[in-house]
Amino acid sequence: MDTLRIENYKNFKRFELDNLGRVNLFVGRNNTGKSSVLEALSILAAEGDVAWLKVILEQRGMYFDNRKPRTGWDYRINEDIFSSFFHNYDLSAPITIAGFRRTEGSAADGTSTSGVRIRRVELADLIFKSNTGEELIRRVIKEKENQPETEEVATTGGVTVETPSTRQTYGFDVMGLIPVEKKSSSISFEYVRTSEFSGDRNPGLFDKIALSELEDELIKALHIIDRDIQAINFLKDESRVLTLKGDPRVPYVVLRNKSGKIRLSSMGDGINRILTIILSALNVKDGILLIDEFENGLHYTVQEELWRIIYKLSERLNFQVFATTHSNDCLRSFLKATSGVSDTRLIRLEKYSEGIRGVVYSDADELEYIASSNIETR
Amino acid sequence: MATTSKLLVEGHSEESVIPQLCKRCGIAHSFDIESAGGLEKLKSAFKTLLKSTNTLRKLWVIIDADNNFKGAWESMKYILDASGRYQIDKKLSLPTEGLIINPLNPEDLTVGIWIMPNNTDVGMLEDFMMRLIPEEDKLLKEAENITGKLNSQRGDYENMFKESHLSKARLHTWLSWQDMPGETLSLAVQKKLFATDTELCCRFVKWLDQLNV
Repeated sequence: MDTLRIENYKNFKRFELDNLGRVNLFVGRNNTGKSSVLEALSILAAEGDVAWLKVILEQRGMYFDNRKPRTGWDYRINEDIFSSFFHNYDLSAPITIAGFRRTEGSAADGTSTSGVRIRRVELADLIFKSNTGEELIRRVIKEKENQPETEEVATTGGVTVETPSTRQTYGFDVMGLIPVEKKSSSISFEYVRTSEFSGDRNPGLFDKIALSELEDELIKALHIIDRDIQAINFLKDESRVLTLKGDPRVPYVVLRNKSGKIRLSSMGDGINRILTIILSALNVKDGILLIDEFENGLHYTVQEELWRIIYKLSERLNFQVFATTHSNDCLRSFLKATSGVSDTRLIRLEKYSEGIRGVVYSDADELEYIASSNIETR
Repeated sequence: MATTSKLLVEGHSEESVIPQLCKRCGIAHSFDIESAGGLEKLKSAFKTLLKSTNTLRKLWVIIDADNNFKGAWESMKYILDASGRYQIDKKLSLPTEGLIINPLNPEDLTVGIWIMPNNTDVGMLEDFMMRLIPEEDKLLKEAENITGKLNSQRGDYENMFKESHLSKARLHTWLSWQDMPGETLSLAVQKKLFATDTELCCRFVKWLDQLNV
Protein backbone atom coordinates (compact mmCIF):
# COMPACT_ATOMS: atom_id res chain seq x y z
CA MET A 1 0.00 0.00 0.00
CA ASP A 2 1.10 3.56 -0.67
CA THR A 3 -1.11 5.35 1.81
CA LEU A 4 -2.33 4.45 5.27
CA ARG A 5 -5.18 6.28 6.92
CA ILE A 6 -6.15 5.83 10.56
CA GLU A 7 -9.07 7.53 12.30
CA ASN A 8 -9.98 7.29 15.97
CA TYR A 9 -7.68 4.41 16.81
CA LYS A 10 -5.93 4.87 20.17
CA ASN A 11 -3.80 8.01 20.05
CA PHE A 12 -4.64 8.73 16.39
CA LYS A 13 -7.57 11.02 15.78
CA ARG A 14 -6.93 11.73 12.11
CA PHE A 15 -3.67 10.35 10.77
CA GLU A 16 -2.45 9.80 7.27
CA LEU A 17 0.82 8.53 5.88
CA ASP A 18 1.49 8.97 2.23
CA ASN A 19 4.31 7.71 0.03
CA LEU A 20 4.95 4.48 1.94
CA GLY A 21 7.74 2.26 0.72
CA ARG A 22 8.53 -1.42 0.56
CA VAL A 23 10.43 -1.30 3.86
CA ASN A 24 9.40 1.37 6.37
CA LEU A 25 11.11 2.14 9.66
CA PHE A 26 9.29 4.19 12.28
CA VAL A 27 11.15 6.33 14.79
CA GLY A 28 9.93 8.86 17.31
CA ARG A 29 9.84 9.62 20.98
CA ASN A 30 8.12 7.34 23.41
CA ASN A 31 4.37 7.69 23.38
CA THR A 32 4.11 8.91 19.80
CA GLY A 33 2.27 5.74 18.85
CA LYS A 34 4.87 3.70 16.99
CA SER A 35 3.52 0.39 18.30
CA SER A 36 -0.05 1.56 17.75
CA VAL A 37 0.64 2.03 14.05
CA LEU A 38 1.82 -1.56 13.84
CA GLU A 39 -1.28 -2.70 15.72
CA ALA A 40 -3.51 -0.76 13.35
CA LEU A 41 -1.75 -2.35 10.36
CA SER A 42 -2.25 -5.79 11.87
CA ILE A 43 -5.96 -5.10 12.36
CA LEU A 44 -6.15 -3.99 8.74
CA ALA A 45 -4.42 -7.16 7.55
CA ALA A 46 -6.61 -9.33 9.80
CA GLU A 47 -9.68 -7.61 8.30
CA GLY A 48 -10.72 -6.52 11.76
CA ASP A 49 -11.24 -10.09 12.95
CA VAL A 50 -12.42 -9.89 16.57
CA ALA A 51 -10.41 -12.98 17.47
CA TRP A 52 -7.29 -11.02 16.47
CA LEU A 53 -8.47 -7.97 18.42
CA LYS A 54 -8.59 -10.25 21.44
CA VAL A 55 -4.98 -11.31 20.80
CA ILE A 56 -3.98 -7.64 20.88
CA LEU A 57 -5.86 -7.08 24.12
CA GLU A 58 -4.39 -10.16 25.76
CA GLN A 59 -0.88 -9.00 24.88
CA ARG A 60 -1.68 -5.92 26.94
CA GLY A 61 -2.96 -8.08 29.74
CA MET A 62 -6.64 -7.37 29.17
CA TYR A 63 -9.21 -10.16 29.20
CA PHE A 64 -12.91 -10.10 28.56
CA ASP A 65 -15.22 -11.37 31.25
CA ASN A 66 -16.83 -14.53 29.98
CA ARG A 67 -18.86 -15.50 32.98
CA LYS A 68 -22.56 -15.95 32.52
CA PRO A 69 -24.56 -12.84 33.32
CA ARG A 70 -25.50 -12.71 36.97
CA THR A 71 -25.96 -10.15 39.66
CA GLY A 72 -23.25 -7.57 39.43
CA TRP A 73 -22.11 -8.60 35.97
CA ASP A 74 -22.82 -6.09 33.30
CA TYR A 75 -21.84 -6.15 29.64
CA ARG A 76 -20.31 -2.76 30.28
CA ILE A 77 -17.29 -4.44 31.88
CA ASN A 78 -16.40 -5.83 28.47
CA GLU A 79 -17.42 -2.60 26.77
CA ASP A 80 -14.91 -0.69 28.87
CA ILE A 81 -12.17 -3.10 27.90
CA PHE A 82 -13.07 -2.82 24.23
CA SER A 83 -13.16 0.97 24.44
CA SER A 84 -9.39 0.95 24.91
CA PHE A 85 -9.16 0.65 21.12
CA PHE A 86 -10.99 3.93 20.60
CA HIS A 87 -9.42 7.40 20.58
CA ASN A 88 -9.96 8.94 24.03
CA TYR A 89 -12.02 5.83 24.87
CA ASP A 90 -14.85 7.51 22.97
CA LEU A 91 -17.04 4.77 21.54
CA SER A 92 -19.19 7.22 19.61
CA ALA A 93 -16.50 7.85 16.98
CA PRO A 94 -15.97 4.81 14.75
CA ILE A 95 -12.48 3.49 14.09
CA THR A 96 -11.37 3.48 10.48
CA ILE A 97 -8.17 1.91 9.21
CA ALA A 98 -7.65 1.94 5.46
CA GLY A 99 -4.84 1.22 3.03
CA PHE A 100 -4.67 2.69 -0.46
CA ARG A 101 -2.55 1.84 -3.42
CA ARG A 102 -1.82 4.60 -5.86
CA THR A 103 -3.02 3.66 -9.32
CA GLU A 104 -0.82 4.64 -12.23
CA GLY A 105 -1.18 8.24 -13.23
CA SER A 106 -3.69 9.29 -10.62
CA ALA A 107 -2.76 12.19 -8.42
CA ALA A 108 -5.56 11.80 -5.89
CA ASP A 109 -6.54 8.66 -4.01
CA GLY A 110 -6.07 5.46 -5.87
CA THR A 111 -8.52 2.63 -5.36
CA SER A 112 -8.82 1.61 -1.76
CA THR A 113 -7.30 -1.81 -1.47
CA SER A 114 -8.45 -2.62 2.02
CA GLY A 115 -10.24 -1.05 4.93
CA VAL A 116 -11.71 -1.84 8.32
CA ARG A 117 -14.40 0.06 10.16
CA ILE A 118 -15.20 -0.70 13.79
CA ARG A 119 -18.38 0.79 15.20
CA ARG A 120 -20.09 0.54 18.55
CA VAL A 121 -23.71 -0.43 18.07
CA GLU A 122 -26.83 -1.11 20.08
CA LEU A 123 -28.11 -4.66 19.68
CA ALA A 124 -31.61 -5.91 20.34
CA ASP A 125 -32.75 -9.48 20.89
CA LEU A 126 -36.07 -9.85 19.14
CA ILE A 127 -38.61 -12.65 19.20
CA PHE A 128 -39.69 -13.96 15.80
CA LYS A 129 -42.27 -16.55 15.12
CA SER A 130 -40.91 -19.08 12.63
CA ASN A 131 -42.98 -20.80 9.93
CA THR A 132 -43.53 -23.77 12.21
CA GLY A 133 -44.81 -21.57 14.98
CA GLU A 134 -41.67 -21.77 17.08
CA GLU A 135 -40.51 -18.74 18.89
CA LEU A 136 -36.96 -17.79 17.90
CA ILE A 137 -34.76 -15.09 19.27
CA ARG A 138 -32.71 -13.14 16.79
CA ARG A 139 -30.19 -10.49 17.57
CA VAL A 140 -30.20 -7.44 15.32
CA ILE A 141 -28.46 -4.12 15.18
CA LYS A 142 -30.71 -1.27 16.22
CA GLU A 143 -30.34 1.25 13.43
CA LYS A 144 -32.06 4.60 13.24
CA GLU A 145 -34.99 3.32 11.18
CA ASN A 146 -37.72 1.51 13.03
CA GLN A 147 -37.50 -2.20 13.44
CA PRO A 148 -40.49 -4.25 12.36
CA GLU A 149 -43.02 -4.71 15.12
CA THR A 150 -41.66 -7.59 17.13
CA GLU A 151 -41.14 -8.17 20.77
CA GLU A 152 -37.90 -6.96 22.13
CA VAL A 153 -36.52 -9.25 24.81
CA ALA A 154 -33.33 -7.46 25.70
CA THR A 155 -30.85 -4.96 24.45
CA THR A 156 -27.12 -4.89 24.83
CA GLY A 157 -24.11 -3.02 23.55
CA GLY A 158 -21.81 -4.49 20.94
CA VAL A 159 -19.57 -3.82 17.98
CA THR A 160 -19.82 -4.33 14.31
CA VAL A 161 -16.66 -4.73 12.25
CA GLU A 162 -17.00 -4.05 8.55
CA THR A 163 -14.71 -4.46 5.57
CA PRO A 164 -15.64 -4.05 1.90
CA SER A 165 -16.52 -7.75 1.81
CA THR A 166 -17.38 -8.84 5.35
CA ARG A 167 -19.27 -7.87 8.44
CA GLN A 168 -18.98 -9.30 11.95
CA THR A 169 -21.26 -8.28 14.78
CA TYR A 170 -20.83 -9.27 18.41
CA GLY A 171 -22.49 -8.21 21.61
CA PHE A 172 -20.21 -7.32 24.49
CA ASP A 173 -21.87 -10.06 26.46
CA VAL A 174 -20.43 -12.78 24.24
CA MET A 175 -16.99 -11.25 23.67
CA GLY A 176 -15.53 -13.50 26.29
CA LEU A 177 -16.55 -16.59 24.37
CA ILE A 178 -14.77 -15.78 21.13
CA PRO A 179 -11.49 -17.72 20.81
CA VAL A 180 -8.25 -15.79 21.02
CA GLU A 181 -6.46 -16.64 17.83
CA LYS A 182 -4.90 -15.44 14.64
CA LYS A 183 -6.82 -16.83 11.73
CA SER A 184 -5.53 -16.74 8.19
CA SER A 185 -6.89 -13.78 6.29
CA SER A 186 -6.64 -12.65 2.71
CA ILE A 187 -3.65 -10.47 3.58
CA SER A 188 -1.06 -12.65 5.26
CA PHE A 189 0.80 -10.97 8.07
CA GLU A 190 3.03 -11.67 11.03
CA TYR A 191 3.44 -9.36 14.00
CA VAL A 192 6.78 -9.79 15.75
CA ARG A 193 6.44 -8.13 19.13
CA THR A 194 9.00 -6.59 21.40
CA SER A 195 9.48 -9.43 23.78
CA GLU A 196 10.63 -12.95 23.42
CA PHE A 197 7.37 -14.80 23.87
CA SER A 198 6.52 -14.17 20.26
CA GLY A 199 8.70 -17.22 19.66
CA ASP A 200 5.63 -19.33 20.43
CA ARG A 201 4.63 -19.26 16.82
CA ASN A 202 7.97 -20.45 15.53
CA PRO A 203 7.33 -24.21 15.38
CA GLY A 204 4.17 -23.63 13.33
CA LEU A 205 5.88 -21.08 11.08
CA PHE A 206 8.74 -23.51 10.53
CA ASP A 207 6.34 -26.28 9.54
CA LYS A 208 5.01 -24.13 6.74
CA ILE A 209 8.40 -23.67 5.09
CA ALA A 210 10.11 -26.91 6.06
CA LEU A 211 11.55 -28.89 3.14
CA SER A 212 10.94 -26.01 0.76
CA GLU A 213 13.57 -23.79 -0.81
CA LEU A 214 12.68 -21.17 1.80
CA GLU A 215 14.34 -23.37 4.40
CA ASP A 216 17.64 -22.43 2.72
CA GLU A 217 16.88 -18.78 3.34
CA LEU A 218 16.43 -19.59 7.00
CA ILE A 219 19.83 -21.27 7.23
CA LYS A 220 21.47 -18.35 5.41
CA ALA A 221 20.01 -15.92 7.92
CA LEU A 222 21.20 -17.97 10.87
CA HIS A 223 24.71 -17.70 9.42
CA ILE A 224 24.69 -14.14 10.71
CA ILE A 225 25.29 -15.66 14.12
CA ASP A 226 27.22 -18.79 13.20
CA ARG A 227 28.48 -19.70 9.75
CA ASP A 228 28.68 -23.37 10.66
CA ILE A 229 24.96 -23.96 10.96
CA GLN A 230 23.93 -26.50 8.36
CA ALA A 231 20.41 -27.50 9.27
CA ILE A 232 17.64 -26.69 11.71
CA ASN A 233 14.58 -28.49 12.97
CA PHE A 234 12.02 -28.20 15.71
CA LEU A 235 12.01 -31.20 18.03
CA LYS A 236 10.38 -32.22 21.28
CA ASP A 237 12.52 -31.55 24.28
CA GLU A 238 11.96 -34.59 26.49
CA SER A 239 13.23 -32.92 29.60
CA ARG A 240 10.71 -30.11 29.36
CA VAL A 241 7.40 -30.40 31.17
CA LEU A 242 4.65 -30.46 28.60
CA THR A 243 2.84 -27.14 28.70
CA LEU A 244 -0.89 -27.06 28.31
CA LYS A 245 -0.71 -24.39 25.70
CA GLY A 246 1.44 -24.09 22.66
CA ASP A 247 3.75 -26.29 20.71
CA PRO A 248 6.37 -27.94 22.93
CA ARG A 249 8.95 -28.24 20.16
CA VAL A 250 12.16 -26.26 20.36
CA PRO A 251 14.74 -25.47 17.70
CA TYR A 252 17.83 -27.61 17.26
CA VAL A 253 20.65 -27.13 14.80
CA VAL A 254 23.43 -29.18 13.32
CA LEU A 255 26.86 -27.62 12.94
CA ARG A 256 29.46 -28.46 10.37
CA ASN A 257 32.31 -30.50 11.78
CA LYS A 258 30.43 -31.24 14.97
CA SER A 259 28.42 -34.34 15.58
CA GLY A 260 25.07 -34.29 17.32
CA LYS A 261 22.42 -31.67 17.49
CA ILE A 262 22.61 -28.51 19.58
CA ARG A 263 19.86 -26.44 21.19
CA LEU A 264 19.73 -23.18 19.30
CA SER A 265 19.07 -21.22 22.45
CA SER A 266 22.51 -22.19 23.73
CA MET A 267 24.17 -20.42 20.84
CA GLY A 268 24.31 -16.86 21.89
CA ASP A 269 22.45 -13.63 22.15
CA GLY A 270 19.80 -12.77 19.76
CA ILE A 271 19.68 -15.95 17.75
CA ASN A 272 16.15 -16.71 18.84
CA ARG A 273 15.09 -13.21 17.87
CA ILE A 274 16.66 -13.63 14.43
CA LEU A 275 14.90 -16.97 14.09
CA THR A 276 11.53 -15.41 14.96
CA ILE A 277 12.00 -12.51 12.58
CA ILE A 278 13.10 -14.64 9.65
CA LEU A 279 10.48 -17.34 10.14
CA SER A 280 7.86 -14.60 10.20
CA ALA A 281 9.30 -13.04 7.05
CA LEU A 282 9.27 -16.35 5.22
CA ASN A 283 5.57 -16.74 5.93
CA VAL A 284 4.13 -13.47 4.66
CA LYS A 285 4.38 -13.76 0.89
CA ASP A 286 2.44 -10.92 -0.74
CA GLY A 287 1.55 -9.65 2.72
CA ILE A 288 2.90 -7.58 5.60
CA LEU A 289 5.70 -8.09 8.12
CA LEU A 290 5.43 -6.07 11.34
CA ILE A 291 8.40 -5.88 13.71
CA ASP A 292 8.22 -3.91 16.95
CA GLU A 293 11.53 -2.69 18.37
CA PHE A 294 13.67 -4.29 15.70
CA GLU A 295 16.86 -3.91 17.75
CA ASN A 296 15.67 -5.97 20.74
CA GLY A 297 18.14 -8.63 21.74
CA LEU A 298 20.38 -7.84 18.76
CA HIS A 299 23.91 -6.51 18.85
CA TYR A 300 24.43 -3.66 16.42
CA THR A 301 26.89 -5.73 14.39
CA VAL A 302 24.17 -8.18 13.34
CA GLN A 303 21.48 -5.60 12.68
CA GLU A 304 22.86 -4.38 9.38
CA GLU A 305 23.14 -7.88 7.96
CA LEU A 306 19.67 -8.75 9.18
CA TRP A 307 18.23 -5.65 7.50
CA ARG A 308 19.90 -6.66 4.25
CA ILE A 309 18.39 -10.11 4.40
CA ILE A 310 14.94 -8.75 5.21
CA TYR A 311 15.11 -6.30 2.33
CA LYS A 312 16.08 -9.05 -0.09
CA LEU A 313 13.34 -11.33 1.18
CA SER A 314 10.78 -8.54 0.92
CA GLU A 315 11.65 -8.20 -2.76
CA ARG A 316 11.71 -11.91 -3.39
CA LEU A 317 8.46 -12.70 -1.58
CA ASN A 318 6.76 -9.38 -2.33
CA PHE A 319 5.86 -8.32 1.20
CA GLN A 320 5.85 -4.90 2.82
CA VAL A 321 7.76 -4.31 6.06
CA PHE A 322 6.81 -1.93 8.88
CA ALA A 323 9.20 -1.81 11.82
CA THR A 324 9.83 0.45 14.80
CA THR A 325 12.99 1.32 16.67
CA HIS A 326 14.31 3.65 19.29
CA SER A 327 17.94 2.81 18.73
CA ASN A 328 20.26 5.07 16.79
CA ASP A 329 22.40 2.06 15.90
CA CYS A 330 19.41 0.32 14.42
CA LEU A 331 18.56 3.41 12.41
CA ARG A 332 22.08 3.63 11.05
CA SER A 333 22.21 -0.08 10.25
CA PHE A 334 18.94 0.25 8.39
CA LEU A 335 20.20 3.20 6.35
CA LYS A 336 23.51 1.52 5.57
CA ALA A 337 21.93 -1.77 4.59
CA THR A 338 19.40 -0.10 2.30
CA SER A 339 21.43 2.74 0.85
CA GLY A 340 21.15 2.87 -2.91
CA VAL A 341 17.59 1.55 -3.21
CA SER A 342 14.67 3.88 -3.62
CA ASP A 343 11.83 2.02 -1.95
CA THR A 344 12.72 2.36 1.72
CA ARG A 345 11.31 5.00 4.04
CA LEU A 346 12.21 6.46 7.37
CA ILE A 347 9.09 7.72 9.11
CA ARG A 348 9.25 9.94 12.15
CA LEU A 349 6.17 10.24 14.35
CA GLU A 350 5.78 13.52 16.19
CA LYS A 351 3.23 14.99 18.54
CA TYR A 352 1.65 18.25 17.47
CA SER A 353 -1.20 20.16 19.02
CA GLU A 354 -3.69 18.71 16.50
CA GLY A 355 -2.45 15.19 17.08
CA ILE A 356 0.24 12.91 15.78
CA ARG A 357 1.98 13.61 12.51
CA GLY A 358 4.13 11.26 10.45
CA VAL A 359 7.02 12.74 8.46
CA VAL A 360 8.16 10.49 5.63
CA TYR A 361 11.78 10.69 4.48
CA SER A 362 12.32 9.05 1.14
CA ASP A 363 14.98 10.88 -0.87
CA ALA A 364 18.47 9.48 -0.88
CA ASP A 365 20.04 12.78 0.18
CA GLU A 366 17.60 13.18 3.09
CA LEU A 367 18.33 9.67 4.32
CA GLU A 368 22.06 10.20 3.91
CA TYR A 369 21.90 13.37 5.99
CA ILE A 370 19.92 11.60 8.69
CA ALA A 371 22.38 8.70 8.72
CA SER A 372 25.33 11.00 9.26
CA SER A 373 23.75 13.34 11.76
CA ASN A 374 22.60 12.75 15.27
CA ILE A 375 18.89 13.08 14.79
CA GLU A 376 17.22 11.94 17.96
CA THR A 377 15.32 8.74 17.64
CA ARG A 378 14.10 8.46 21.21
CA MET B 1 19.90 18.70 26.28
CA ALA B 2 17.52 18.98 23.40
CA THR B 3 18.42 21.49 20.70
CA THR B 4 15.93 24.27 20.08
CA SER B 5 18.10 26.58 17.96
CA LYS B 6 20.46 25.60 15.23
CA LEU B 7 22.79 27.48 12.88
CA LEU B 8 23.57 25.65 9.65
CA VAL B 9 26.76 26.72 7.83
CA GLU B 10 28.75 25.52 4.86
CA GLY B 11 32.08 24.75 6.45
CA HIS B 12 34.55 24.80 9.27
CA SER B 13 35.56 28.45 8.84
CA GLU B 14 32.09 29.67 9.74
CA GLU B 15 31.82 27.03 12.44
CA SER B 16 34.93 28.29 14.23
CA VAL B 17 34.53 32.03 13.62
CA ILE B 18 30.92 32.50 14.68
CA PRO B 19 31.37 31.64 18.37
CA GLN B 20 34.27 34.11 18.59
CA LEU B 21 32.27 36.80 16.85
CA CYS B 22 29.47 36.28 19.32
CA LYS B 23 31.84 36.70 22.22
CA ARG B 24 33.48 39.77 20.72
CA CYS B 25 30.16 41.43 20.02
CA GLY B 26 28.70 40.60 23.38
CA ILE B 27 25.85 38.37 22.29
CA ALA B 28 24.96 34.94 23.61
CA HIS B 29 25.86 31.72 21.83
CA SER B 30 23.04 29.51 22.94
CA PHE B 31 22.53 27.73 19.64
CA ASP B 32 23.99 24.61 18.04
CA ILE B 33 26.29 25.15 15.05
CA GLU B 34 26.30 22.51 12.35
CA SER B 35 28.79 22.53 9.52
CA ALA B 36 27.33 20.74 6.52
CA GLY B 37 30.51 20.11 4.54
CA GLY B 38 29.77 22.08 1.40
CA LEU B 39 26.86 23.80 -0.30
CA GLU B 40 25.19 20.69 -1.74
CA LYS B 41 25.25 18.92 1.61
CA LEU B 42 23.93 22.07 3.26
CA LYS B 43 20.96 22.08 0.89
CA SER B 44 20.19 18.44 1.76
CA ALA B 45 20.49 19.15 5.44
CA PHE B 46 18.30 22.28 5.16
CA LYS B 47 15.63 20.46 3.20
CA THR B 48 15.59 17.55 5.65
CA LEU B 49 15.57 19.68 8.79
CA LEU B 50 12.57 21.65 7.55
CA LYS B 51 10.43 18.52 7.33
CA SER B 52 10.23 17.76 10.97
CA THR B 53 11.10 19.83 13.92
CA ASN B 54 11.56 17.37 16.74
CA THR B 55 12.66 19.78 19.46
CA LEU B 56 14.00 22.43 17.07
CA ARG B 57 12.20 25.76 16.99
CA LYS B 58 14.56 27.99 14.98
CA LEU B 59 16.89 27.24 12.11
CA TRP B 60 19.28 29.92 10.80
CA VAL B 61 21.31 29.34 7.62
CA ILE B 62 24.44 31.12 6.33
CA ILE B 63 25.65 30.49 2.79
CA ASP B 64 28.11 32.22 0.47
CA ALA B 65 26.87 34.17 -2.52
CA ASP B 66 30.04 33.03 -4.34
CA ASN B 67 29.88 34.57 -7.80
CA ASN B 68 26.11 34.49 -8.20
CA PHE B 69 24.09 36.19 -5.50
CA LYS B 70 20.77 35.83 -7.29
CA GLY B 71 21.30 32.09 -7.81
CA ALA B 72 22.15 31.58 -4.17
CA TRP B 73 19.04 33.46 -3.01
CA GLU B 74 16.79 31.65 -5.49
CA SER B 75 18.05 28.26 -4.32
CA MET B 76 17.25 29.11 -0.70
CA LYS B 77 13.81 30.40 -1.65
CA TYR B 78 13.19 27.23 -3.60
CA ILE B 79 13.91 25.00 -0.62
CA LEU B 80 11.60 27.06 1.60
CA ASP B 81 8.87 27.07 -0.99
CA ALA B 82 9.17 23.35 -1.75
CA SER B 83 8.68 22.48 1.90
CA GLY B 84 5.17 23.87 1.68
CA ARG B 85 5.45 25.38 5.13
CA TYR B 86 6.17 28.99 4.25
CA GLN B 87 4.44 31.70 2.32
CA ILE B 88 7.06 32.45 -0.35
CA ASP B 89 6.26 35.09 -2.90
CA LYS B 90 8.14 34.73 -6.19
CA LYS B 91 9.17 38.36 -5.95
CA LEU B 92 10.46 38.06 -2.37
CA SER B 93 13.90 39.63 -2.12
CA LEU B 94 16.43 39.15 0.62
CA PRO B 95 16.35 42.03 3.10
CA THR B 96 19.78 43.58 3.71
CA GLU B 97 19.44 42.84 7.39
CA GLY B 98 18.99 39.12 6.62
CA LEU B 99 15.80 37.12 6.29
CA ILE B 100 13.72 35.89 9.22
CA ILE B 101 10.53 34.10 8.27
CA ASN B 102 7.83 32.48 10.37
CA PRO B 103 6.11 29.27 9.27
CA LEU B 104 2.45 29.04 8.28
CA ASN B 105 1.92 26.53 11.09
CA PRO B 106 3.35 27.92 14.34
CA GLU B 107 4.63 24.47 15.26
CA ASP B 108 7.03 24.38 12.33
CA LEU B 109 10.45 26.06 12.26
CA THR B 110 11.19 29.76 12.17
CA VAL B 111 13.93 30.21 9.56
CA GLY B 112 16.68 32.81 9.17
CA ILE B 113 18.86 33.26 6.07
CA TRP B 114 22.03 35.30 5.57
CA ILE B 115 24.01 35.29 2.35
CA MET B 116 27.66 36.25 2.78
CA PRO B 117 29.04 38.79 2.63
CA ASN B 118 26.16 41.25 2.99
CA ASN B 119 22.94 39.90 1.45
CA THR B 120 23.58 41.87 -1.71
CA ASP B 121 27.02 41.36 -3.26
CA VAL B 122 28.90 38.38 -4.60
CA GLY B 123 31.49 36.93 -2.28
CA MET B 124 31.95 34.72 0.74
CA LEU B 125 32.72 34.75 4.45
CA GLU B 126 36.23 36.01 3.78
CA ASP B 127 34.86 39.10 2.02
CA PHE B 128 32.70 39.78 5.04
CA MET B 129 35.75 39.51 7.32
CA MET B 130 37.82 41.80 5.09
CA ARG B 131 35.19 44.50 5.33
CA LEU B 132 35.81 44.42 9.06
CA ILE B 133 39.44 45.36 8.62
CA PRO B 134 39.95 49.12 9.01
CA GLU B 135 40.20 51.13 5.76
CA GLU B 136 43.67 52.39 6.51
CA ASP B 137 45.20 48.95 7.00
CA LYS B 138 48.28 48.96 4.75
CA LEU B 139 48.98 45.25 5.06
CA LEU B 140 45.56 44.49 3.60
CA LYS B 141 46.33 46.72 0.62
CA GLU B 142 49.61 44.88 0.13
CA ALA B 143 47.84 41.55 0.34
CA GLU B 144 45.32 42.69 -2.27
CA ASN B 145 48.05 43.89 -4.59
CA ILE B 146 50.10 40.75 -4.41
CA THR B 147 47.27 38.29 -4.75
CA GLY B 148 45.86 40.37 -7.59
CA LYS B 149 49.19 40.28 -9.39
CA LEU B 150 49.57 36.53 -8.93
CA ASN B 151 46.04 35.97 -10.08
CA SER B 152 46.63 37.83 -13.32
CA GLN B 153 49.69 35.67 -14.02
CA ARG B 154 48.02 32.37 -13.28
CA GLY B 155 49.77 30.56 -16.04
CA ASP B 156 53.19 31.03 -14.45
CA TYR B 157 52.39 29.16 -11.28
CA GLU B 158 51.38 25.63 -10.54
CA ASN B 159 48.89 24.54 -7.97
CA MET B 160 47.77 28.08 -7.19
CA PHE B 161 44.50 29.06 -5.51
CA LYS B 162 41.43 28.99 -7.74
CA GLU B 163 40.28 32.36 -9.03
CA SER B 164 37.01 31.91 -7.19
CA HIS B 165 38.99 31.70 -3.97
CA LEU B 166 40.79 35.00 -4.44
CA SER B 167 39.19 36.42 -1.31
CA LYS B 168 40.38 33.49 0.77
CA ALA B 169 43.89 33.96 -0.52
CA ARG B 170 43.78 37.67 0.30
CA LEU B 171 42.46 37.27 3.80
CA HIS B 172 44.81 34.48 4.77
CA THR B 173 47.78 36.31 3.27
CA TRP B 174 46.94 39.30 5.44
CA LEU B 175 46.51 37.01 8.45
CA SER B 176 49.89 35.42 7.88
CA TRP B 177 51.52 38.84 8.12
CA GLN B 178 50.00 39.76 11.48
CA ASP B 179 51.93 39.56 14.70
CA MET B 180 52.03 35.85 15.33
CA PRO B 181 51.77 34.73 11.73
CA GLY B 182 49.90 31.54 10.90
CA GLU B 183 47.14 31.89 13.45
CA THR B 184 43.61 30.89 12.67
CA LEU B 185 40.79 33.18 11.65
CA SER B 186 38.89 32.58 14.83
CA LEU B 187 41.89 33.36 16.98
CA ALA B 188 42.32 36.56 15.02
CA VAL B 189 38.76 37.50 15.89
CA GLN B 190 39.51 36.81 19.52
CA LYS B 191 42.57 39.03 19.38
CA LYS B 192 40.45 41.89 18.13
CA LEU B 193 42.07 42.19 14.74
CA PHE B 194 38.67 42.88 13.21
CA ALA B 195 36.53 45.94 13.81
CA THR B 196 33.31 44.52 15.10
CA ASP B 197 31.62 47.87 15.48
CA THR B 198 31.20 48.39 11.73
CA GLU B 199 27.72 48.76 10.38
CA LEU B 200 27.94 45.44 8.53
CA CYS B 201 29.10 43.49 11.55
CA CYS B 202 26.43 45.04 13.76
CA ARG B 203 23.79 44.23 11.19
CA PHE B 204 24.97 40.61 11.02
CA VAL B 205 25.15 40.19 14.76
CA LYS B 206 21.67 41.64 15.18
CA TRP B 207 20.33 39.00 12.76
CA LEU B 208 22.28 36.24 14.47
CA ASP B 209 21.20 37.24 17.96
CA GLN B 210 17.59 36.51 17.11
CA LEU B 211 18.53 32.86 16.92
CA ASN B 212 19.33 32.87 20.60
CA VAL B 213 16.56 31.62 22.84
